[in-house]
Amino acid sequence: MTGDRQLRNLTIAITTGIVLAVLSLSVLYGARFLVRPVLAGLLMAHILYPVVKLARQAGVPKWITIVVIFLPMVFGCVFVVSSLVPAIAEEIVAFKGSQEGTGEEQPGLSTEKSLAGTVPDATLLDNSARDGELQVKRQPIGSDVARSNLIYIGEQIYKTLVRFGLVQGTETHTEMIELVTGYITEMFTDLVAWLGSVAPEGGQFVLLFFFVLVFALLDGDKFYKGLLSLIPNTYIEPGIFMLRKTIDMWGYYLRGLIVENLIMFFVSFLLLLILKVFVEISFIMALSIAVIIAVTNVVRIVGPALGACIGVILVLASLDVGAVEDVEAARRNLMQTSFGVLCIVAFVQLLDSVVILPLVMRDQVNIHPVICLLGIFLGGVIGGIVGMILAVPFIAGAKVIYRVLTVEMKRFDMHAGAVPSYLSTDIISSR
Amino acid sequence: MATSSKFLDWFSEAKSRTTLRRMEADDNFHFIRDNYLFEQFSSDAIAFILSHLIERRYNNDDLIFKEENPSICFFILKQGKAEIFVTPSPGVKLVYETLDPGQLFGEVSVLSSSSRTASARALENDTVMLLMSTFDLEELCRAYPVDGLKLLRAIAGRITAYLAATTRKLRTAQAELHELKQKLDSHDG
Repeated sequence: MTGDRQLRNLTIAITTGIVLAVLSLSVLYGARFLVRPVLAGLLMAHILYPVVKLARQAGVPKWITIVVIFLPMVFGCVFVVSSLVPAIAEEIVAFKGSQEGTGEEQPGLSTEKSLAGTVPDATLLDNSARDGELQVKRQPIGSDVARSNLIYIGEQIYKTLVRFGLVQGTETHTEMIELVTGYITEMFTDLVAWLGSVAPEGGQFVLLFFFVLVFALLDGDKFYKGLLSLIPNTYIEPGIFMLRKTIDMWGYYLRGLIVENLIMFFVSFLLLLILKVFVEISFIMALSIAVIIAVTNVVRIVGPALGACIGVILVLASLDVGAVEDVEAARRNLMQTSFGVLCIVAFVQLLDSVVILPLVMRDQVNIHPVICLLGIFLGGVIGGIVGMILAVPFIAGAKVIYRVLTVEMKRFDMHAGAVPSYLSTDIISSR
Repeated sequence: MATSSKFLDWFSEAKSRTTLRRMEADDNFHFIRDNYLFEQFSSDAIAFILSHLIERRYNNDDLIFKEENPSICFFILKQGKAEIFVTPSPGVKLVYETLDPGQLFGEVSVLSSSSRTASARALENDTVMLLMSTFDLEELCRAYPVDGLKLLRAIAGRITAYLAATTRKLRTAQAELHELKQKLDSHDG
């Protein structure tokens, strides 16, 4: 009977757990536009709170520290909005032009930009026909440009493989290369178009993010005390212990993550500058690729591959055959640069796994790759790219809570077990 | 140089005034400032303590902490009454001390990072405790080492007083035991 009851209780507990999990996820999904900035704001506040605390101990009022933290952030946002958004909008217009394949000038675009839109893929492949025809100073980063460069690289690899007898030269391979490169460039086109479409949503995100960040930084202590007030008296000591351990461990993890990615950024940038000696790659391009490698590294497992892909596509899209004299030499340089970027990403990843991660994180949270992938997938479903980036820190937070609950909290005897007051009492006060 | 020094003095004074004004708005300010543990503390350290103290309200017979549990907080009794006791065997309770407002307890095991050597419970309804965790104590010592040292000295003074009282009692007990033994020997003789 007892066994049946236990089984029933277990079934009820599991069913309730699943229902609650599904309900919570659906609520999170429904309110994802609100949840994303709030979580991102709280996360950022958690990372920055020690700065506010230290400054306060040094006698600097909270609001001054917050203003100092906010100024670079706001300027950064203004810079992004004023420079990046028009650039993206420009690229989208250029894409539309190239996809329509018309020779008419697009509204809002100069003649230079319209020219990029009129170049079909086949023409781009025919280098000799275009040499010296166009003197274009700057072409938008377009899918056609990236695609033609990718096809070129694919063809070169294919030719090498044929030369060594590793594959047989058939028409199907060429078609396959075109298909794959076409698919990759389509994805790139979609990504840029998506960036343009989410701009208004991004504005809302930034506003709510800053709002949450300000209040979380201002009232961090009150927030902590508010959480403590929810704990019953019997569990106050275990509660404080669990909360502090969780906050501290999570804080170490997040700050470690930032330090790790900063190191990744500097190492990648340095290596790209070294690469700059051997191949032609602009300073801005090197900086952008280093930032991408560092940012995508936050998303574990899939991040580095994503970073490598975006980096290579950026390199490929940077060369427009119409803007150079010696197309062959430029494309050789392009191949070398792409290969160099891939090598740098691989090397930096190796360095991260072997040296940086063990040094920075030490005893910190190790997340199982399967859990990590599932979390990233779930984060992507709930919160898009922001959700994917936030997924890993939140899984780490959940793991810290689990560890504290299952290991550290076992030291506490949670039963009140007060001695009834009517039992024998002998006062042996030491005073 | 003179201008910058004047500015620093002005800034420091303004900061102290602001801190004092902010602290006076706190209900626990006078209670903490007048407590012997925090005597001669700097206003910044008092502000730190006030912002980190957690206030909890207990009812009569509520358990505050339990013997052999890990010690995370030390307690200052703000209002009401509490007692410290041990249960050497089931159903037997030995009361070590009955506490009045202003007294500190639970600090020894917090400082030594050991388990609780006794339990504590509230003896009245509306007993109010101020808690400070070991994490905050460490932070206080890191941020304000001079004040942290003062607090540790005050606590050490309390422990020494306990130890002296216990030693006195032990000596008295030993003397009584010796007397009894002599009486027993003479009686046997």
